[in-house]
Amino acid sequence: MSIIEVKDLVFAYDSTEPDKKALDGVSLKINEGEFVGIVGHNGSGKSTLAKLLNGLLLPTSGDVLVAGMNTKDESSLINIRRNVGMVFQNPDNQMVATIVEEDVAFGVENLGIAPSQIRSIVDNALHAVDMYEFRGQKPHQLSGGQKQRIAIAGIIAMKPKCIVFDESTAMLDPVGRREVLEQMHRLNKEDHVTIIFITHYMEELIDVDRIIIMNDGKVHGEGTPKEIFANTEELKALRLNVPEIVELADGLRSGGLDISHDILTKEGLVDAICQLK
Amino acid sequence: MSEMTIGQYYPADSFVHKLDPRTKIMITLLYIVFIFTVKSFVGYIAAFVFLVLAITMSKIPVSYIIKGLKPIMFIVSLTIIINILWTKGENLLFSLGFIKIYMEGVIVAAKMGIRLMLLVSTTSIMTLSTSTIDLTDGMEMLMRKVPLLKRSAHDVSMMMSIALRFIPTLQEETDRIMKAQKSRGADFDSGNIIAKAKAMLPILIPLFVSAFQRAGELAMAMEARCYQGGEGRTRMKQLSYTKLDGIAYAVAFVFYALMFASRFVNLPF
Repeated sequence: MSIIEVKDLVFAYDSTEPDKKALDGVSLKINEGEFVGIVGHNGSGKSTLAKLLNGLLLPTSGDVLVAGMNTKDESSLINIRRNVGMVFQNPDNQMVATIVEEDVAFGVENLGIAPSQIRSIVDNALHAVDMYEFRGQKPHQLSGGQKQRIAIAGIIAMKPKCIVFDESTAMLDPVGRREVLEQMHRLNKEDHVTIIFITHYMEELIDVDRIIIMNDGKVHGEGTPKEIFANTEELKALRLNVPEIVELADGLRSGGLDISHDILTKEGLVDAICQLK
Repeated sequence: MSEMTIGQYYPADSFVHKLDPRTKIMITLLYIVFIFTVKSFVGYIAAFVFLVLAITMSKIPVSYIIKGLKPIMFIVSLTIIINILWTKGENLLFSLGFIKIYMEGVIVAAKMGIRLMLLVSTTSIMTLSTSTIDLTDGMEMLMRKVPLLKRSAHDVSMMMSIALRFIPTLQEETDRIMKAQKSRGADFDSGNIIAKAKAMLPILIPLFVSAFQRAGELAMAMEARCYQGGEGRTRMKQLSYTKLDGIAYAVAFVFYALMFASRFVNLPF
């Protein structure tokens, strides 16, 4: 079953210049429980698409349906945002409260849940991202990765069916990036939350279910990571960086070694090389 | 940049710390009102005893309170000097040319000085013993009781807490911009006041641009988390009055009564 359905979506930021389209005829479906990666270089429309998925922006034409609800219908907006949570790029600019636990509680408080229940919801969310002992800290005392985990806790406290990560790893150091990626995979596997991960780091998408490539406001192509990474020349033409291992495997292959196109990880490549005669 | 404490909260486990923020705000407000009704030194003694009691019960070191008085010392001295020089009376103490100092002037000036210092000290006990988040929560709850302020109560407290949240972030940013501009040869330290003020522009402009950008992003993040203003919103932390608040109010009212009653007692001062 699809949780998000995008139909012939067109979006222009400036209504006086309708020809400058950020999105131009995008149609796609996201299935429940899926882990989808959306890639594209700067200006490909991927972040605009993210903001249309929970009604932060409204379509110029076309429709976005979340669990059957149209984002154009103002009365269902809160319900849509409750179902589609969003973690943004800059960890500093999405924290509202002066204390970590207050920030996690922010979304739940907006939903008007009884105060007696909020406490346990917030504690559970903090445990889920392994940040419980930081609950009394101030946001500016945390690292970037920790702040993003708090932002994730704030979203999962609202129990959404789907979470959109809009370049949420882009401003983090490698440690923080790994923390956030692990969180995404855990949420997807254990809690069956649908994950839509927007990024321009291809190597972060090796383990996803499906990759959608955006280019110039259009869906350029989609497929499993193996299918997508098999065509390195095309990715380079779209100004996307190919993961190092894929590039190395490609180089070995063009050097005449018999290495399969399926290899995406270091371990896989080591195995393949060891089996060469 | 060193850690700046905003609202300068002094954490401690004391009677005053345990009070509900609403109680502390109300007691401080009423104290300010009543101190203006005091006419004689006896009243000020009552007010002073209350202050000493509050300091002891809050376990806040006296040095913190005195530190809080430093910034207002200039205003206090100015008030005292103006009052001494301008008040006319009958008992001339001293005269030099056109300067005439009367006994009445000295008394008025002393009362003014005492009053100002009492006001600031009591307010700083309130801010030192209450965390900023409790303070904004308390203000919101109190404003909701006032018909005229009811509708904006939530907005005001939300704005205050966001402002407090972003002070350290913007401080870091200022620091970074200053370093970036210095590394390009900007000079912030030489020249007169006007030159220095002009030198601040390359800091202020990028800081403003980024603050607006942050505000836009924050607004979007808040909306994405279903924020729709104060209506229908609940709070995780609920404020609740305890027995301690009753005791605090009772004690405070005894002192208010003393302060007010001192008006009607005929004393030489």
